[in-house]
Amino acid sequence: MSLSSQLLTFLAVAVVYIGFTFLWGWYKGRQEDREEASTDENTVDTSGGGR
Amino acid sequence: MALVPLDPLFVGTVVVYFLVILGIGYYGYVKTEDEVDFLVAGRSIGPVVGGATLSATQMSAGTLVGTFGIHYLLGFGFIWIWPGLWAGWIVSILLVAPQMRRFGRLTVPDFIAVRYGDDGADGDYARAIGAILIVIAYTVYLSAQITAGGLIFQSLIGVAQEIGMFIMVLTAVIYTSIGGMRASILTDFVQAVMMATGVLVALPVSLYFLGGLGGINAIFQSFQPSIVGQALSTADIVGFMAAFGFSIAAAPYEITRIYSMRDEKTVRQAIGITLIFQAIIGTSVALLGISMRVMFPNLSTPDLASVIMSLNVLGPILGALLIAAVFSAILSTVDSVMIVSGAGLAHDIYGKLINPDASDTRMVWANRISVAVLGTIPFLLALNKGLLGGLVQLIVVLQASMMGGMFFVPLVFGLHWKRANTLGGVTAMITGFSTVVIWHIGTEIMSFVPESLTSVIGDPVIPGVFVSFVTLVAVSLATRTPSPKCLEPFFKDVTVTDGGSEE
Repeated sequence: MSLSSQLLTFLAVAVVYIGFTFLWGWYKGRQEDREEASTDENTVDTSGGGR
Repeated sequence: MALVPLDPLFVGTVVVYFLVILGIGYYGYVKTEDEVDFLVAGRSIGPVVGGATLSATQMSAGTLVGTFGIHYLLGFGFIWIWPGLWAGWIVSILLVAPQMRRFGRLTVPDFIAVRYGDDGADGDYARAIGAILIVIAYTVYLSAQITAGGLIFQSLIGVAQEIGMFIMVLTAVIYTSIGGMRASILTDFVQAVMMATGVLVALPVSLYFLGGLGGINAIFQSFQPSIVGQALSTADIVGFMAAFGFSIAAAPYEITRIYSMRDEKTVRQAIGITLIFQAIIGTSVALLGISMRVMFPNLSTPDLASVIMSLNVLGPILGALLIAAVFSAILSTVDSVMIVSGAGLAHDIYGKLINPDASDTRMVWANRISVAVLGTIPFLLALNKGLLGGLVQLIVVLQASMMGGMFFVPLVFGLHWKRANTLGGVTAMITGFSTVVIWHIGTEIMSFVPESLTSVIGDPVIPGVFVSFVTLVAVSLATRTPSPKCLEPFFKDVTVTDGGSEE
């Protein structure tokens, strides 16, 4: 394999790792925001609707 | 003797760089009021600075001196260690880093003391064992950084390597002991940017001299194709990947950085950003290493390749930039390791076992004194290089193997397996660490490990992690389940009632 092909293969692998990391961060962040929102709603409900 | 006469512009640039670093140390000193400030910068670090600090901490002399030198010696194929290392970061983002940030203490032994706290002393014995193992492994690591620093000073200004080592230790001890984590993280940011800029600027200049990638490829294909192909065996590459991968997922110096970040979201973003830094720097270092092989094929030691490049190829300003990047790589790792290692003595042993009532001011000073003491021991070790092996990269790998062998299993299983108990966790740390050390002695110093094994197992971290895993599972299953107080901080479905039972 030539140097250029090795380099391109390596960069492609790097992009997969980086892409996965950001996607996972985005997915977990969204999941945590939803959980937080549902916890807040439950808190409001148990306090009698918040009024 | 210096390798070439130094241009005043070159010297000026390097001196300004050192002054900036010491200035940041002073800023950190002014801002540090208590131990939380000193050890985790008040937990105020955002994703960009966080990503930069993870990068600068991880990429040490091992990268800009050692890895550069290994590429010079063995060729481009060594670049494949990076995906192994990044696999460690993926394990970290999935299973370790956010969970540790949520736990939010000051040191890794803090985690050990809580999770493996059924030792009859509220986890203090387990904490002390973890702290001592960290101090030993990081003493080895620091000696590699100091060796590299000495080599660079020797090449630059012609002083004895020992004097160069002393200058490096002194600079790092001064700004780390006065500035603490805040100074360390801010200098890391400057240093990560310097590293990336240094190699990114050096790369096109070097490729231009050699006729681009095609030129380098043509030169090596004709007489030494392994330099642009793969010179290492699969077992060796897998061994290096495993050493770095296991160690980075459990590295105390990275976890202390993670404690310093604002929240779990920041931690995930910072890990993504550090991978970008690492891809840029890793690729550039690989190409620069093989470029140097074309330009200077007969260097006395491969560890000099990056220094020779900055002195002879890049001109005074670019050269100084790359040298500053190399110093950055060394100092940013040395400061982080000194803080973690010093905290092992000051926070985990002095503050928890010897003087639990110490005031905040006394604790900050205990940390400062520990940093100074723990800078001196590796300096002495670095004077006797034969003990650890010659090349910088190989000493770095040994430290990585020690860290992976002792912490990977207790950390990952402690966070995700409720049945892991104190006896299992502590014996796993000790057996993992001991296996790595015995394997290293048996392969590098006394040759009692059979060749049939070493040809398949490329690095001591593999038997280390295996033994640590078997010990943790076997001992935990054979002894009592852990108490709820050890599980509650890590498992949402476990709570401690007044009677101490699990719900």
